[in-house]
Parts: sequence; structure tokens; C-alpha cells
Amino acid sequence: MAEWLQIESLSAGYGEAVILHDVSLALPQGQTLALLGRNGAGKTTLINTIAGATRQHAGRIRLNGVALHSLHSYARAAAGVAWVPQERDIFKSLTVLENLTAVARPGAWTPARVFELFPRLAERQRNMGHQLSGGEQQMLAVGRALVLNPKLLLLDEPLEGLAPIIVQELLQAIARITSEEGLSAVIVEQHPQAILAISHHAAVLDQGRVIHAGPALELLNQSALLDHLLGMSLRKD
Amino acid sequence: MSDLVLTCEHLVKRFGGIHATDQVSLQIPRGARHALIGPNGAGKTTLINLLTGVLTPTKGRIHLRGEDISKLPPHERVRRGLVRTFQINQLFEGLTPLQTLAMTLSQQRGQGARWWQALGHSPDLNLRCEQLLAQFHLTKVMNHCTHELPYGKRRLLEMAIALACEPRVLLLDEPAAGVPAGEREELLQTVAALPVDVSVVLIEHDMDLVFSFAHRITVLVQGAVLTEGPPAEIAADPRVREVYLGHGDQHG
Repeated sequence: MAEWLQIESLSAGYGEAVILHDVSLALPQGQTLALLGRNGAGKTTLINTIAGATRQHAGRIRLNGVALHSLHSYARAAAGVAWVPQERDIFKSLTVLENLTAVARPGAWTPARVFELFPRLAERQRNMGHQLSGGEQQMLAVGRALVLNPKLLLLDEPLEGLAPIIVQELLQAIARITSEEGLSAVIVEQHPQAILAISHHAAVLDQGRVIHAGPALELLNQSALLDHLLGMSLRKD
Repeated sequence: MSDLVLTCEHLVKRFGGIHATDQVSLQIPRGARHALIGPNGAGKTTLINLLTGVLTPTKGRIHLRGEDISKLPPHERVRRGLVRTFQINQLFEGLTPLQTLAMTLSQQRGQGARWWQALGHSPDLNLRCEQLLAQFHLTKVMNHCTHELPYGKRRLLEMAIALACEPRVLLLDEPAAGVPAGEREELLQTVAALPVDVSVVLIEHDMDLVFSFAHRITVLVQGAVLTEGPPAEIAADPRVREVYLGHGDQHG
């Protein structure tokens, strides 16, 4: 299958600091990549770099043939990149519905469909962003990315702060959306088991470099390797 | 009843037409390990904000060790032993863990205006700083600037600050949120090892943490108490599975 997202020899960071070194990854259309690694490994920097929010020093990023690396972040959004940042960054002075309608683009995902996925947001649609709980803001950030009707969904810790039942629903929804609608997703997550179970591919970063890349299920079934890669053993002072 | 440290009766908080907290009553005894769970937007953080004085209740009363604290400002509640941590870290980014804890302890002991003199001159305060740093696995990073610390260490520092305030009741708002897998075990063990005489109320969506920690669980839904009971009872309650746990959860 042709690669939908292609990252080649990417080096990037903030200011003069280089965080990512020579990162190469590829992802076919309709598939999901789980991005794992210890704290400070460069996972968020990689997501932010695809979105165009860091300083790129070298390398190429292509999405469906479009050279993202030469585009500003707003042009990457127009090219089909939707980004759910770790901080959620919803519009706090707009209502839930306005948060969705302000960015919606034509396509299968509408505010009404987001409300079907997250009924809690439907109940809160007239409330302002700043009146939402942490978990509700998380739902809204994911919903706002979906109504962009993107080609690529970048999710930075999308499960954080969500109730277990919502986590299950969101994981199922991500798996369904990617396979049925030809949408690809790159997901950073602190719960490796949960995210590997619905992903096709896994990549583990350490100190800004890819130290493991392969099928997600293979990594899920090798718990000792997973623990080793993520440094799960208790570190004592 | 003298064993009860924190109680609230028929607590109500309305924001316009929304009942964020709806007739909530809680009884927290000394040494409690109590968890507060519920769907997103159920009013868990609002309840913590009411208990700690960040928000004023529309109706209802809050008592700490028999004293009505309903109208006291947050800092007076902290002085009386009602201390919290936050869902999103609220730290002194430019200070080190050692400086942060020394400042907190100095303030707690009425030496806030001259804490830099006290540090190193007060063996008692130094000892307590060392104890807290060790207890929260911060000794190795005690001289690192807080903004440089890994996220798990930052969560631990937030808890260390709370414990430096000598709480009778500690309210932990999602302490495991955002903590990576490799740093999670350290945090879970630290929460489990909190002093037994401190009552702990925990808000958390990490069910491994909730069910290993809590002796009693209150489930909030739409601002009101749906049910309360021991973990096994809560895990088996079909209403709780329906609105919160879902059916894939292994607990119970």
C-alpha cells in the first residue's frame, strides 16, 4: 500500500535546540500509528513538527504527496492535518457549538455527528469553553479536530482525563474512523496497552530518535520488550 | 461522630441553570482512603473547589473537625488542615524542589518572611525537607529547576507541597493524569504510602489506582451522589458500569 504519511530524516526542535534526530517513519492511508516513549523522548515534538509548530532543521514530511515541510502550520491544516494538542487549547470564550462550527469544513464529520460520538457535549453545546470540565474540554478538542474532516489526525494524549467508558468509546471510534473513512492517525499516549490494541503500527522514541518501529500487535504481545523500551521498571532515588 | 474529620451536608452549587453540585453530603473519617469518581462533567472538581473554598456554595454546610468552615477563605482552610493538589500542576517553576519545600514549610511555621535565613539554620525544618524529598523520590532532583523536571516528578512535588502543609485532609485531583507509564508505578506507590492519619480524598480516572487505593468510593453523576460504598460493591453496581466504568473494565 502506498504511504500516506511519509517522514524522512527529520530533525527538529525549539529555537536552536534540536530535539528530534534523523526520524523516518511511514504510515499508509486508513491506518494508525501509536507513538510511545518515555517522558522527554520527543513524542510531542514529533507531533508538533508534523503540525508545523516547531523549528524544522532537516528532513521531509509528505502527506498524500503534498510536501508539508515547506508549508506554514495554517497551510498544513488546509492540506488535511488536524492536531489535538496536549493542552487541548479549545476556544474558551466560545460556546461548545461555536468551537465546532468555527472550524468545520465540508465532509462526513459535522457538529451533529460529534454530538453523537460525545453525547455529553450535546448537553453542553450552549456552554462556554471555560465552563467545561477537563474531560469535556478533551472531548471538544477531539471533536474540533474531526469536523476539520482531515486526512491525518494528530492526537497528543487524547485519553487523558476521560472517564473509562468514554475512553472505550473513543478508542473504538478512532479504530472505526480510520478503517472506514480512510483517515490516518498518529497518537501519542501514556497508556500503551490501550492504544496498541487499536493501532496498526508502533514507534518508540528515545532521546529524539526512533529506537523501535514495527506492527503494534507484535509489540503489544511482547510485554518484556515493551517494558524495556518504555523503562517501566521502578526507578528509585 | 468525633472520628469524622470532614463533612458536608446538602451541598448545592448552581451556575445559572446548571446544578453543578446537587445536594451532596459526604462524611470523611480520620485516615479515610476515599475516592470520588464519575463521568466527565459530573461535578467532581467543582465539589473539591467548594470544599476548599475556591467556590462558594449556593446552599449547604462544610465542617472540618467539627468547625463550620463554609464561609472561610481558601488559605484559612489550608491553615486548618484542608489541603489540595490540582488537576493541572500549580508549581513555582523557577524554584527548585528544595527551595519550594523550604518556602512552604517556613510559611507553614510562620517564618515565611525570612525563609532563606531559616534554611540551613533550623535543623528541624531541614530535617523535614529531607524527609519530604525522600518520601516523594525527589532527593536526586532537589536542586534542579522545577520547570526542567519530568512530569512524574512534578506531580510528586505537587503532592510533597501539599503534605508540607501538614494536612488533616488531603484532596488529590487526578494525581496520575499525564504521568507516563514509566513513572506511574513510583507515583502509585507514593500515594499508597501517604501517612495513615491523613484522610485522603482522591479524584481519578485511573481505575487501577482507584481500586487499589480506596476503601470507600462515592460516585457522582450530574452533580449528585449516585451511590457510595466499598470498591467491590461499586464495581459490581450495574448503574455505575452503565454511566462510568463501561463493560470492558476488569475491576470487581
